[in-house]
Amino acid sequence: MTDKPALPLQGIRVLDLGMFWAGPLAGKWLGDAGAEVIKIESASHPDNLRILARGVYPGGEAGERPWNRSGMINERNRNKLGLALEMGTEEGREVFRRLVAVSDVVLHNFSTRVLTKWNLDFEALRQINPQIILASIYSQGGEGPESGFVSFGGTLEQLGGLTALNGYPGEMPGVLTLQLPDPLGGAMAAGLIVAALRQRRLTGEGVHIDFSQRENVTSILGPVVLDYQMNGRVPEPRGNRHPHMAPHGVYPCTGEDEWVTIAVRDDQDWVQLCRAIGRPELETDERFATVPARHEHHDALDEILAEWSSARTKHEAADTLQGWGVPSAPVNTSADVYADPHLASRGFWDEVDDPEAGHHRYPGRPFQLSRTPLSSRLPTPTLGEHNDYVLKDVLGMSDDEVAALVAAGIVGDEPTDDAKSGRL
Amino acid sequence: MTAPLDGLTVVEVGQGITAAYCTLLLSSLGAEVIKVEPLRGDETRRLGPFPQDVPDRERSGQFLALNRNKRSIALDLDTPTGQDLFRSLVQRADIVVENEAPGRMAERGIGYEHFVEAQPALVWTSITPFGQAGEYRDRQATEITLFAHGGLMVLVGDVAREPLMFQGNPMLHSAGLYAFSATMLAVHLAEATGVGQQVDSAILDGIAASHFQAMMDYEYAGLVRRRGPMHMPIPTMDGFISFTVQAHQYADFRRLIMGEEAGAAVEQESAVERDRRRAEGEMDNEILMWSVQQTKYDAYHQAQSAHVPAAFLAGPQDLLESPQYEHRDFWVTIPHPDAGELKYPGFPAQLTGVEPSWSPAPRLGEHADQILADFAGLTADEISDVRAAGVIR
Repeated sequence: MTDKPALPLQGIRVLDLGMFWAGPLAGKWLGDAGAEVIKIESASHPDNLRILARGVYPGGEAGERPWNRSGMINERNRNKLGLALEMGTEEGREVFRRLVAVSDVVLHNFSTRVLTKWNLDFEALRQINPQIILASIYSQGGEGPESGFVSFGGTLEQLGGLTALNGYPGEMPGVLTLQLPDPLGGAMAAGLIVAALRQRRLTGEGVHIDFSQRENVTSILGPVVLDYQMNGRVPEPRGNRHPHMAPHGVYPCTGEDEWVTIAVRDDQDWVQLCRAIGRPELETDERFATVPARHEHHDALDEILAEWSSARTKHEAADTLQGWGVPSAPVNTSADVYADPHLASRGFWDEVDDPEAGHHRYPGRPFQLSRTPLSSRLPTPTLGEHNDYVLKDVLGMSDDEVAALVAAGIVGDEPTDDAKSGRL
Repeated sequence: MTAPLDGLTVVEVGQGITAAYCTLLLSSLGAEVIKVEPLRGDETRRLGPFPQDVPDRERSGQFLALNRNKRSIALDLDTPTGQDLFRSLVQRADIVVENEAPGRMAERGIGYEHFVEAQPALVWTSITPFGQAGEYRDRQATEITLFAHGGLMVLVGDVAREPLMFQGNPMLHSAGLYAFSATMLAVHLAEATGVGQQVDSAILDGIAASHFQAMMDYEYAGLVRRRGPMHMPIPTMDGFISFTVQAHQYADFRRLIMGEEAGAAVEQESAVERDRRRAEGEMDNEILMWSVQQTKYDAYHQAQSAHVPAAFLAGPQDLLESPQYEHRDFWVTIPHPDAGELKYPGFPAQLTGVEPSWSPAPRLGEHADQILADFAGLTADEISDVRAAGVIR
């Protein structure tokens, strides 16, 4: 077992029509794992993140070709080839159909209308390639009264049931948004696509994946929905308190907006916490003897812990508590995460030389594979960077055929004026 | 009817959410999952929510939601006999998913390294807070500490107050979801080439890889992003909605909420005038005058009809009664011998030719006899003996 095996998805070709985040991320998962992923955009409709990501350019400088320099696009599209093809034209779609014939997977996160408008729905794709897998990363699924509704990650957090849980205690929920449905949806779609490849092997037939990102959020809220059915309980914001752990929360540290989290899981953690903060007498304090008692006197506990934490940096506080085995971590900023010793020691970061954005460290993956380590083999393609490779090497077109497509504006490598100004 | 993961056998050694969610997704796609619980049961059995708030290890909502479509055996992995029985389960498995502390399985002589030689195609997925290697490998962590450590918490809440966590354990569930997809990649390779491997899933890595903008703001431009003023939702007759009307949508939206004339008036006004009315809160007031006369569901539908990406803040009842979910048969009703008939989230995707089937979460050790007979070839007498010895239940 000395020779290195191929990457997991070597030999699989993916046409990635994804825009923004969930779609491109699904493509990136597959590309990271060795698939040949062709990211298809167009000069008139580049991936929205090429244009809309104001202020995320190297050194804040947009440069001559900002659409190739945005951190937002470059984080999500590594390990892909770039084709800029006008899917809104019949000639463009003819090229796409030829690609479908030699590909395994098509993925998109368009609304329900787009593929139908282009006459490229699953039935049409299956006519071209009976073994094709089409992954439709929809907001709410392909059919139903709300299937045509538009959404972003925050919309889906709210519709999926996550937002209503969160806010300061005793107040109405806040519109607190992390766009989590996107990374969850992209990752889930990638897993579903690999599952569909297996199904194709078992049945010999193509598969349409009709995926609802809203349902993907609600899928993690089983306990909330069961509590409602069992007890009629509707959750209300409870800040950072926890139903089973106490004390539990964030505590101020030295500096501005610096905090440490502490989570006491059980009575053993509680004893350790008392010793860690130099207050062994609290171990026998009846107010804090059990989880229900600590819940009842949580305000008093918060005062004690805040007094202790306020005299320390967030890192000192967390290191001290971890020394006693108590779960604790600093409330890190992105700068802290980049400087985190653990992530560095784990080889988490991908170092990439990007042709137009320079050298950068990007977040790696949520997992590592022991036998086939994944890495960034390719930087994010510039718009249309691999037009020639895709058209000539993959499709076998002649120089003249390609030149004709370029002359007709069907393929290109620079956004149209409308696209540059954000009018998409 | 074929399911995508037909014929795959998974052994789960899971406590809590991460491993259980990973194998729930695998089982929903047709894999057979054997859940190996400690003798006292998975810790989620003790956490609830419970019917009428009465603790009962067979009626924990958390456990019931996460462990559908699985079979259970309770096995003491700290005894030599328990370890032997575990070995016989793994010998018949394609995938192991575990979330024990790093090194814990190996200490018992039943870690990945103890199987890889005899089973080179085995996929072994480990899910831990910090991964199998690295400086903080052995640190302790929970949902809130990981959320903070990975840089998300500092972005949530109001800038003038303490940062807020997300309730509902989204980080732990995300880790299970990420591990599911990573496991699929490894299984694909194992089936194609016979090369299995260990999938080292780290919850923290997943969080650090799930940022929308803050990481790139820092890496590209040196900007450290924190939470701003907290946005509050818009009240309606019966709850809250939330949306942002883009400048180009404003005329249509005003037409919708105030009538044709008001919409047309906006089309006549200058950008300066429009910005002034927005800055002085006039637009917000117009929306509020309208919203408090709507139900949240109607307001959401109306705003969407003007192509505004609007949402309402859905609670459990809204989710259970959603016409969209009903149209897709998202909720599945599953009877359970102890907890009764309840509705559970189904599967968030529909695949051509696949009809999911659902069985209730298992009672503790419910399938021990069957599993030991099928996997370890034990006779009824032998099973009685190990049960009497306190190795299984």
